Amino acid sequence: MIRKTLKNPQAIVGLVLIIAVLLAAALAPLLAPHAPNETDLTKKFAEPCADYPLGADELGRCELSRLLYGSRASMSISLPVLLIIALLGLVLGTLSACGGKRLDAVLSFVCDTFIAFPQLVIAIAIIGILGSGARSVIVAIIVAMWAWFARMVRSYAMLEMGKDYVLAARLAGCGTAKLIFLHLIPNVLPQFIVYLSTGVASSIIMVSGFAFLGLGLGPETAEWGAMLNGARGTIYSHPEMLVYPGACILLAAAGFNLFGEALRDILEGEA
Amino acid sequence: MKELNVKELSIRLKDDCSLLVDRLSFRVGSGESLILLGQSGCGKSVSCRAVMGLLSRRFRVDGSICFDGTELRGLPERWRADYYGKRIALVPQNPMTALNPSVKIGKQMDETLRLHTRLGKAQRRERIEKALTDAGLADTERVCASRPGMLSGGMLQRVLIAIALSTDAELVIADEPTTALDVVHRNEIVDVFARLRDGGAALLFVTHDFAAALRLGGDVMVMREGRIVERGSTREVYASPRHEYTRALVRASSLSKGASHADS
Amino acid sequence: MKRYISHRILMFFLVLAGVSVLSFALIGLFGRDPAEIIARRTNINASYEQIEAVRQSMGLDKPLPARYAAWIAGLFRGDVGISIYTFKPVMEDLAQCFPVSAALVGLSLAWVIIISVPVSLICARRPDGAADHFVRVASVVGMSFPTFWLGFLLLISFAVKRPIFTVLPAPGIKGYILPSFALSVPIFSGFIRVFRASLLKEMGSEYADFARARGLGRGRILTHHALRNALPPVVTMLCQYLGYLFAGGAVVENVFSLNGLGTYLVGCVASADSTSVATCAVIVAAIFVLANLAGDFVNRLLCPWTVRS
Repeated sequence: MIRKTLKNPQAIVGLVLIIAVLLAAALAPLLAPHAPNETDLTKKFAEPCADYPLGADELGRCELSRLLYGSRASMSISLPVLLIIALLGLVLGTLSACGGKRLDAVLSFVCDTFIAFPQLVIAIAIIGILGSGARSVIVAIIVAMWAWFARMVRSYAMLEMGKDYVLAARLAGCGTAKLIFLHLIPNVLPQFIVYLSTGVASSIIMVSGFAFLGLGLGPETAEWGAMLNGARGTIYSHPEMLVYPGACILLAAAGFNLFGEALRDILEGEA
Repeated sequence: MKELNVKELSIRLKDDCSLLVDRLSFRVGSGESLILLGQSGCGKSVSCRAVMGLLSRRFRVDGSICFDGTELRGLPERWRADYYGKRIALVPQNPMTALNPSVKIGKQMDETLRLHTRLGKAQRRERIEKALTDAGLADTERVCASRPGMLSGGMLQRVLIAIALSTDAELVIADEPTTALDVVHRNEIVDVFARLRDGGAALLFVTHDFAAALRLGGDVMVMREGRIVERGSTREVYASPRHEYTRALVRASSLSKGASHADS
Repeated sequence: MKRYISHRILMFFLVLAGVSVLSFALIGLFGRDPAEIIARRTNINASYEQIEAVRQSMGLDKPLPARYAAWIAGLFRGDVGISIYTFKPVMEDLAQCFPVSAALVGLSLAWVIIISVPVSLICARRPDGAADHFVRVASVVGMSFPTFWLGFLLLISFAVKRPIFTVLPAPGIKGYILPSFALSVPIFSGFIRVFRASLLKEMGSEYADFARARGLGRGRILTHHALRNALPPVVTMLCQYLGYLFAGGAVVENVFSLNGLGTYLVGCVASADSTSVATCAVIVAAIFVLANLAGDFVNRLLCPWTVRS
């Protein structure tokens, strides 16, 4: 399966983009020619030059440096979010599928409620409760997205539970906990990785969407969504300042989506 | 005389080059029947699909499949409808899944006729009713108005035969048409095929059931792992099988001999 | 069947109750004092007494459960009171912003159908052809588009560079064309992927094979046989988006300066306005759940045999 993935050009393009974004995030201080919030009003809307490869914004901050640091903001939120959601989803989803009817009914109801609830309200309220900052954005996105993951894991686990091998394991005297960890999770995992990869993509878009609305991360933060919001005032005079940050969001999200969808194609081709 | 002439037909899987059918040759002409006998997985169905031009690009097909002087292998898309469904009809293996579950049976039968004939609506209707009656379905009105999920496997199998009958196909390829049926229905269905052959069609009948083969009669080829191990007239092969594998098949079928010969 | 329907109806009301409780709880935990927000609006240096006076006049001094009960009672009367955010009756606000969202969502879904159905059919007609390969990659990229950025790109190309549309919303349907398109791009991209896969699954089924054996061409099998059977997963998805988009369009509304439900919700949450938030949330959730139910129902009509098996 890994070999098949490495032969798939779409997966490769996705992986390259993912690695590029991760590298940009990790090495931002080394790669960036300036500090992200270093203002120089004489350089206001400077043309691209050797010192400012992509020019400067309305406060004379280096656009490229801010974009590089933006990947840091985006990754430092999206990756922990997905890690926690993955664990939460796996545990709650499998619990719901194997933990008896009553538990399943309660968990399904809570999931349904959270899925029907407008995500934006959850996010704003939680950011309001916890105050601004990356940590509250992380919590907000987890609370907004966990139910989708739990439901997805549950439906796959239910599908697996109906298969003969689960019955065979039960007949052989396999306990519920053992069943979950030895049989269920390994079998749900491939599909789950697909969801995770595409989930990182939606989380990247969500983070920048919140920042764009001024939620969680302040307008001065070097974050792609916040940069878009900052540049909207100059849509007539300097539209290019609106293009760069969005292109970064698109590339980062596309990397994870391309990889995830290629993986899905491979998985479904094998089934 | 119209005949299907298959020469040196070999089928491989492109992925791993495994040989599914090895240099299969046979011919079957109008008013004749040829039985292809073998276990599941021996290459019978894939041979049928090759003749029908249904194999996907994952398979590599070599040799020649000739019907009435026309090479069917690599037949261009625009000629397909002149042969398949019109002069060559398939009766597929699994009646429960061979028809679109969301379209009424009458409509699916009519669709075939409209494609292949220039008959008017009333004439087509008449043909469909006659074909269904010939295939042994009495309540044609109800059958036409039903969706596939509402009929039993035996009835659906008859519908599939009726589709083959309705276009007066010159060659009928039946891929295990009796597998899904119990013994009584099986004999009735085999008799429908015998009538079809006696009416002048060429019949290629694929089965794993020696009893059905005996009831139909004509010639038989025994296939194993993609190769023909024995051929001859059905009765001769049954009475004195030469190949060890054929003997095993005969022994297996004679266990249920009592049931299959009770009414023949 | 009867049990199934009663179960779904019961779940519908349970989910609505859950949503309303959740919205009150979230706003209750919010930590901002709505009375203070109101008082500071008229007087930035409002004194403690002034704030308390507002609290009493708005009934904000009562505990949260009492306010919840009052809101429920108001909901059944059809009058849930005044919004702290706008100082107008909540129902009046909703009457203003709901049509905006409905137009946005409706037009987006229209784009989705107009674009994804023919494109998916073209892909499924010749799988692995040049068009199919292009669409498969393009659709993944399309799924990755942040809608608000796409909105800006559309504004830059069609309002700034070529003034076909205006940056500020134009009256009538014209003002909705760009925002609805921006909103629909990631959705129809996802749609094409699901629809294409579903169509190809049907084209690989035994009945499609037998239709080929009957002499039918791929095109006819696709439109007359596979299309209908391939619809259920797509219908389910469409209905899910129908519910999701009502509140999920806030960012796009923001880009195009539209005052829809999403924008209103953001403002209400920021004002710690529990009654408006709960009212909006319940409406959005009701649309979401009802749309999913409708999808289920349509699928049962489209493919009744799936119920049998």
